[in-house]
Amino acid sequence: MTLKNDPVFTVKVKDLVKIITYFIGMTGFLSVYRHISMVYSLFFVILGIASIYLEHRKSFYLPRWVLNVTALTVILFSIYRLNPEDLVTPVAEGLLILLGIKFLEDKKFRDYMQIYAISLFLLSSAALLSVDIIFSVYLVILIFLLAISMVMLAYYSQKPDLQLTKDIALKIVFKSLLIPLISIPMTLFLFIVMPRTSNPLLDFLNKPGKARTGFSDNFSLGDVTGIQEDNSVIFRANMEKTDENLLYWRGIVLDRFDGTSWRQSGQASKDTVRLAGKKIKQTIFLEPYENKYIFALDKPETIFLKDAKVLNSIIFYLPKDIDRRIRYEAISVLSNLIYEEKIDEDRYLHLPDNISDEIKKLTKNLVTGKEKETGAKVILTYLNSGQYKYSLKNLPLTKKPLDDFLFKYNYGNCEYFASAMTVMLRIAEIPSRIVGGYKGGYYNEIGNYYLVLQKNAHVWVEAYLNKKWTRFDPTPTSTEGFASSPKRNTLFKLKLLMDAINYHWNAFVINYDFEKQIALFSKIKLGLKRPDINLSGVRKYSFIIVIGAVTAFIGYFLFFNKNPVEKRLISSLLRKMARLGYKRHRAQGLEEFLLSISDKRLKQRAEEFVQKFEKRYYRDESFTKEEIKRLKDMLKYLTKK
Amino acid sequence: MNNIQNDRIDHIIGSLTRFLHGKARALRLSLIAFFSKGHLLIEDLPGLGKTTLAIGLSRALGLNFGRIQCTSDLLPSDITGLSIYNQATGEFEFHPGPIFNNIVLVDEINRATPKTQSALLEAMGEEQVTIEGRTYKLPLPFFVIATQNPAEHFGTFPLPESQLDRFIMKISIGYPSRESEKEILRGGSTRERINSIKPLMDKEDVLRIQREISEGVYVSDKILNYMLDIFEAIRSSRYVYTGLSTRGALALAYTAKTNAYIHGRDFVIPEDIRELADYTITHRVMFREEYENMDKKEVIRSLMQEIAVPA
Repeated sequence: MTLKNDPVFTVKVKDLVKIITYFIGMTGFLSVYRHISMVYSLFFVILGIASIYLEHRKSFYLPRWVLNVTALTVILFSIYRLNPEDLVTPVAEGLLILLGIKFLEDKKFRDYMQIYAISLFLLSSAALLSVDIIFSVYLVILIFLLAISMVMLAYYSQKPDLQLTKDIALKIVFKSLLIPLISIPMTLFLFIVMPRTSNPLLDFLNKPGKARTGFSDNFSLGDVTGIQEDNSVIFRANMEKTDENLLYWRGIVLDRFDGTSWRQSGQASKDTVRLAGKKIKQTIFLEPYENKYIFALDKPETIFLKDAKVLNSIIFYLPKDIDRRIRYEAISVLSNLIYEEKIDEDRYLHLPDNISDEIKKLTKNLVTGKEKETGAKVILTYLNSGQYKYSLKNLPLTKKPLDDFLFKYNYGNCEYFASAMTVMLRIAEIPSRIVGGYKGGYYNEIGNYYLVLQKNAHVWVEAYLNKKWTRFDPTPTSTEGFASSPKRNTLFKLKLLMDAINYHWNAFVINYDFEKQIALFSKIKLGLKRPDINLSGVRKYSFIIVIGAVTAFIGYFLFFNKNPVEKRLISSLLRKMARLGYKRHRAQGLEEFLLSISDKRLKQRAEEFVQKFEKRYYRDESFTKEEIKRLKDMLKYLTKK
Repeated sequence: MNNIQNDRIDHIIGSLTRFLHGKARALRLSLIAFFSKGHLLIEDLPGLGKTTLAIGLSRALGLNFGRIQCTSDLLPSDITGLSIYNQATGEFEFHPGPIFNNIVLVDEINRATPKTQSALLEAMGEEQVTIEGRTYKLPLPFFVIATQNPAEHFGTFPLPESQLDRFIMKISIGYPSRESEKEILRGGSTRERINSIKPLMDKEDVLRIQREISEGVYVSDKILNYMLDIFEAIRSSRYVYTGLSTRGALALAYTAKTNAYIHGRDFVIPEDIRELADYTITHRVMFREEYENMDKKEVIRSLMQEIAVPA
């Protein structure tokens, strides 16, 4: 009674929230209205006026499901209108209509929050549509309005009919303004700094495109060790499981040796060579590395990749270095032979001047008086029969690495073995070359692919005998470097599982770049558009009916087919009981379950609830609103003292 | 709120329990079988109070009682009765056998020959007997309590599994607890006192309650689905050779309804089925030969534990 006579001006917090919310929606609208078509603005204004009118009358609100279905239709319509040239405008227009619809609702706490979110989205789309200083004005206004409104909303949600005097209302407003004032410096930092750094700030989160060492056009003896100490993935090859001894992944071919390093000299196109044998298909996901060569199982016949070129030494490459993850399919012939009628013998017999007499003498001793083929085999046996050990450490990085390897150190990595063999073959007048790539790999059963790591890097030899290139691998096989079946402990299995997930992510998400998605999207849209180009009225209507039915169907599932109230009541009871330590077995009936409760009062209350519940539930009757409320109250009361 | 008037059943249970020490469970189950219009098989050792139970029931329910002691030379006509030539009237007169009673105790049914057994079981199923071309209706309500002695095998004819299905429930009384037995010893046999019980109901009441149960207790769709889940689980179990018949399924539904009624509900909840599963399901299920030695009750219980209740 005193309030009425009180001259102090009071306001309901409910009204306050409503007014501020309208201002927030207005700010969102103003921020985009210059960029969207007039029709939408007009529509929004009409919706806004309608909702203010309904708000004023207080008695009538449109049923929620009508609004929800309409909103869904709007969303579908804006998706339909999306196009690659302008993604933002249709979204902004759609959002605006959604905002208008939201205003029409009998607003509850979450509706207010949705309105705020939509307004913020509108503002962000305005930022995408134009770079204009006015944007920051809207931003500041919106931030302040949101801060005030959120605080008011907190009061409102506790007590909707709360009355505030002018003084208190102002106090709350000023206090809530402090929130953005404090947070704005931080925001400004993000706002100003973030878009202006040339490198993404959060890049460390997903370490993409890490610079990797890899095979290059020339490498010095000992170089591969650097690669072999790298545990990162070079590629994954999706294919069936194959004999591990055949897992040579061909990358590059090197033919010119200068005593310490190998390089590639010019080569002709592929047409002079011929392959024969069992074919095997692979889909390879190659990680970016610092070169242009692309790998496939020895010997690749075809690689399906745009711009990929091939040389007569059967190596495939791209015009430029591979700087992002690529995917390609390759067909390989599983054979260790390449047929080539005529080769440039001088090139493959070339030896540097500084080859020592000792090597020559050794070779002569090994091959004199033997056929070329036998000679090659003798050299192979000489190298990999055990007197030379495989090692990745303390390699002979000297001026005469081959001599030191053969006569002094007696150990080396695959490069030393392969180089020694090639040089010795050439001394024996057998044309030969070095092939670089990877050997082995871990077969991931989960993803059906070979995981090949940098440390699988390997080089081997090809010798030209009887008009065909034959593969020789002089490196002793019992080496740790390419252990293709490491201890399969749990940790390793977990790693493989993680890698399989990673692989699928790569295969389906990352590789699917945005352009492709847009292209696909346009295709779908084209398909959708086609029917109404030249269709008769009947079919056009049936199309509309189908779309309407689908919308209604989705709407029904989204808004009506929620968990029935019975299920919610029961799961609420069971949750409460579980919190108290009483867990029900799913085969236990409710009353049976309650027998296990030792707390008498709790048991009695729960029994009351269950009996009330069962009376409707097991009679297949639906609950009235009052009953639901009563049951909910009982649940609340369940644990009270 | 509650339109179930089950106080008289409560009353019966209350007053009979005084005489049947430690047989409260058996008594309740017998009443459920009785009000479900089924028949009861008690598998137990002699001397544990089967007869006392049967007599007590018949007295309390105000029904007449007949008893058949089965032996291997018992003839079908010893059960059903037969026509005897009356010299005075010059006509054959039908003399009804002990089966023409409301409650019939068939003691040690497995000692009767199969021929006699089948005559009895037929009468149980059809509630009528046909003798020399004439059909005689059995009095309603009609309730058979058959007993079977599991320990004796010599000279017995065990009931075939298919006949077991005709009994709505199979129970056993078991030894009384120490307390109850002490009580019995102190008071002596209660047979005499039981005979003096005043009927708590009459035939009409019994028939009315039976009708109320079958018509008034609601079985929800959810419960029906739950029962179907149970049947399916049992039928598809790897231990089971033959699962529940449809008669068995019906028995489950009837007893569940009666159980609900006794609990004062006019609707069935899953507990009604779960509580009685031991007595309604186990004897109807035939196990595969290799699992014959397993504890049937335990297997059925574990199968039931796999089936989620509707709520």
